[in-house]
Amino acid sequence: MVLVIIAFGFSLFLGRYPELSLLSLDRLASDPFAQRLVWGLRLPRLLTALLLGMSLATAGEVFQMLFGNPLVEPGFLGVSQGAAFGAAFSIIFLSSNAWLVQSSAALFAFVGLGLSYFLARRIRFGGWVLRLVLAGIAVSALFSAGLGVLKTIADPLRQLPEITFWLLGGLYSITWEQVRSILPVTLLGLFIMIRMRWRLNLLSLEDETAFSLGLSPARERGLLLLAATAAVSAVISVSGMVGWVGLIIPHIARRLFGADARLALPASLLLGGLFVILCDDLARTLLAGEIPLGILTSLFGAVSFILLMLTQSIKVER
Amino acid sequence: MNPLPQNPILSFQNVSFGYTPEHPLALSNLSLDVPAGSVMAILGANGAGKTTLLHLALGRLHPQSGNIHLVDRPLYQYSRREIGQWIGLVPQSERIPFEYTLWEYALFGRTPYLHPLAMPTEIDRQAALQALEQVGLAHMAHRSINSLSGGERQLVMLARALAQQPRLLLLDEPASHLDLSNKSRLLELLRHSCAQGVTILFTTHEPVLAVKIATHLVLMRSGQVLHSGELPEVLTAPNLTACYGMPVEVAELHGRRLVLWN
Repeated sequence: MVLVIIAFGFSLFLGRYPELSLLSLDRLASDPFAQRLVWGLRLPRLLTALLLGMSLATAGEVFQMLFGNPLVEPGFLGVSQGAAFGAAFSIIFLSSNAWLVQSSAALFAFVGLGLSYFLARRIRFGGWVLRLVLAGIAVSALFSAGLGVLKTIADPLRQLPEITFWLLGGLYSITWEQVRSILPVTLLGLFIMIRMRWRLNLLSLEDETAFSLGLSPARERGLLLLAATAAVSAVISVSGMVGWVGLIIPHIARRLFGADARLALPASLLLGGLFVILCDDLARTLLAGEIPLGILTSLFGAVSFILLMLTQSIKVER
Repeated sequence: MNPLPQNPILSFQNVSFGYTPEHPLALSNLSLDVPAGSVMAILGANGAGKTTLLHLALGRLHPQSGNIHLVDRPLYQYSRREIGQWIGLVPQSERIPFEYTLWEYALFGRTPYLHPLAMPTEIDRQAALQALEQVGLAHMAHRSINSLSGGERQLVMLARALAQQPRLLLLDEPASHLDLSNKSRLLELLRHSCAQGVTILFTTHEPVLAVKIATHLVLMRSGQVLHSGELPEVLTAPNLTACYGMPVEVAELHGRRLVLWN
């Protein structure tokens, strides 16, 4: 908690203005441009980074527990691929107006979830989790094929770079308006996930056990899936695809604080926020230009994942 | 153990159930009373419908026809949480994908007493620890559950169900992974629970287990109850032979019944 606040404050003053340095308080008090920079650009960007990290990591933990599988992440049920397809679709056929791209991405993220869900209900074999996994893989494949088609027909000069940048993810153009637009959904989703964290433990067990302890597993799983998808699709609709946060952060949180979601979930929330803020600091300061955030999170995520696997094998039961 | 017939805590009336329309019914027109305070064992060949019966009793499956009553009301009139306070289940085995400690896992049993969004309190933690003490695993309370042997896991599942403080305890093959000393510990625990007024209904493949502890016995075959009633009357060679579809003998040694087969 303290670490997150420190990182947040530190990042607020860090940046290239005009050189890479920490902004002094004196300067902030006297320089109107510095004030506008901090309030108008850095603060909304930081807030989004915080929300993005929190949502991805929390949703990742929720997905992993719901599916009883530590290798699952939020993009799992066709959500990420759906969002990517939606964004590309909007860039090519509608317009690259930020609002449209975001709504289209969020819409298709939910279409992905919905398709996976209904497909899973129609599959005639296997347990519920296996069916959802299969349906998710099929729907993701459909959307990524669709995305491939869109990329080939995109205008290589105007539209393709835009799609590519969205796919790599970044927070370079976040405005207060965007923060306001995603804030309610994201906070609501996070709130639901955090409040239900005790029951999340039970939902990681087998259905018959959860049921015998007085839960309604199907309904409560549905609610948590919806909350997680809503939070994730809201943040990635403004940030683009930012990978690995939802996979690696929950692992680190469980390693540090144990499997019980009473601690592991809030830990994921805070570590996720911290991780993305620090990655975004690097994304905007390391080079004079902007490094896409998704590249950095994937880089550090994959590196820490490898380290994690080398230090202790990931335990998958049965 | 009270041999007198009492009011049933759970009763099945003409219950039929099938998993899919195409397949034959898993249970057909089954009637059964579970007397309050009894220890009832269900014996039957594989596929006789024993586990299905437990899941119907839990309210996880719903009968296609017929009624199931818990004490005085139909089962479906109870809320999920109420059933959680009434009935506990110890499944045969369970996949536990994350490294919960024994204490955390036993604590899950307290959920029916918690508000849906509440966290367990110190009282719940003590109840969970006490349940672990009962099964003799309290000294490992902070160990990860995945470091346990199959038998110890079965005892931890029992501890979770004991922490739930149910009035009706369902156990599916509770002794299948247990060695002799743990079997005797299990029997001791079940006797203790029964003495405290908990009704126990369990399935088993081992007639010996039934003989050692049950007051009542149910013999099932192909989704139907062949015989049910107090153990001494039901546990006879002709009944068991019909139940398993092969010759079974019942002998007595030092006043205890033994079930023998070739």
